[in-house]
Amino acid sequence: MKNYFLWRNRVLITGALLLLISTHLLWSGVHSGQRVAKPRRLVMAALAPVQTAAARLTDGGAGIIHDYLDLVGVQRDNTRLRAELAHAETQRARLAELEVENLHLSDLLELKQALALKSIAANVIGADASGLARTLLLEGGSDQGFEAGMAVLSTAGVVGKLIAVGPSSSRVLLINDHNSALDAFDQRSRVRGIVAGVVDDGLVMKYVDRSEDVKPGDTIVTSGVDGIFPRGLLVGEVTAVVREGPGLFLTVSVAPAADFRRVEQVLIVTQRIPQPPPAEPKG
Amino acid sequence: MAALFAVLTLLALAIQTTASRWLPLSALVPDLVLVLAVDLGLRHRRALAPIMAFAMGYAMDSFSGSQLGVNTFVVTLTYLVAYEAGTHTSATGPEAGAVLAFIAVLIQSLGGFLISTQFRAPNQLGALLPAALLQATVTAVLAPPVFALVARCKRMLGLSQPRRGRGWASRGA
Repeated sequence: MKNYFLWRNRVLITGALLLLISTHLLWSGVHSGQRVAKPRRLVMAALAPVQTAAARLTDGGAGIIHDYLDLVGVQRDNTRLRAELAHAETQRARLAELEVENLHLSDLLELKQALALKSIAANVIGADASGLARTLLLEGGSDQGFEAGMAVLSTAGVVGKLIAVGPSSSRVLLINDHNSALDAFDQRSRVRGIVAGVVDDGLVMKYVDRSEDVKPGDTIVTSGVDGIFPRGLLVGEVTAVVREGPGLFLTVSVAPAADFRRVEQVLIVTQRIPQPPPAEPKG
Repeated sequence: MAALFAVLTLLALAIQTTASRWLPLSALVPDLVLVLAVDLGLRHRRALAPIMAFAMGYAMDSFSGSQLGVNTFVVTLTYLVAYEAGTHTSATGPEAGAVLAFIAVLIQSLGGFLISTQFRAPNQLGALLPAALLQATVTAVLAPPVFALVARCKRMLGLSQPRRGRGWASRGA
């Protein structure tokens, strides 16, 4: 009778057990960081080639597909000429793409030289699978020397930090994700705060005292004291400062300098960041 | 069947992670993995099915969010809810599947946010809601074609459709 009950409810029992395991994953993830992430690296390694192929297809191959779709239904005599034209167009588009990529890489090289820290360039091959969280997928992982916690930069400014690293792919938590936070200061007034992501796609600078001097248009840069981001990197620009309302702190809205939806190549800082002198920024 | 869902999950993840780069809003990216989980729950009644749902959620966790376990939990839960809906009601059609996918996306977005912030920022849920509703709607609209595609793949591969369960007697059959 007991076995009969188990057999008849085996799907629900299996599902309930798996729910318990996923709750354990959640609990462990919340309280121990990367402790339960090892199997995830295996999944990332397994799916990385598919992901890279998909990114290549959407970035480079979409032109080829469109060109060849246009040829459907064309008379046989024109097929060869049209195919040649499509090929030439694709080549032209590819060359233009390479030129843009070359420009981006030149900019990254300049940034790399200006940083004077060991860093490696990586291509962005995907975004967050859920669409609502803010992460990016990079081509390159532990085989290239990447580690969780490393800073990710673009030529426009700070992008985020690595949160999961597989052998050949890794994921970046963008600075505008609600779980992200970095130590930064106002370049003009030297007021320090914590820049964090907010749900509606911007950034806020937290823990800035109401008496401090922060104005719209001020530039926010990294302080370097968090040991992740080098000091003085552009984070964004102050767009609004709200002094009204209760509370000890100002509400400082910041527009990120980097356009996270358009970033294609990034720089991973693989060297430990030297700690800056602690006294200069106030706040 | 497991191989088919593994391939479809890979394709869904590839689409989801690349689509937001060419769509104007990332909230327009449908959650195809959740749609697959609903299809699994409505039409597959073996003990392997929840394990497949768990694996699909875990794979999604590898490519989404900063908190491991959120998608694993939600996809497994979605499978179980769809399984129960398919067992105890006659709601196994594409419309019912679309409604289930809609609810699952909302739970994943809002629940995932609460869990990843450890319930410290419930006041920001209102700001997240429009994007979550948009994504849930897009997913629900796309769910019926995805169900049809899965059914077509099964027919092409010669995989028989398991009989639809009704009531207590069919549970676990």
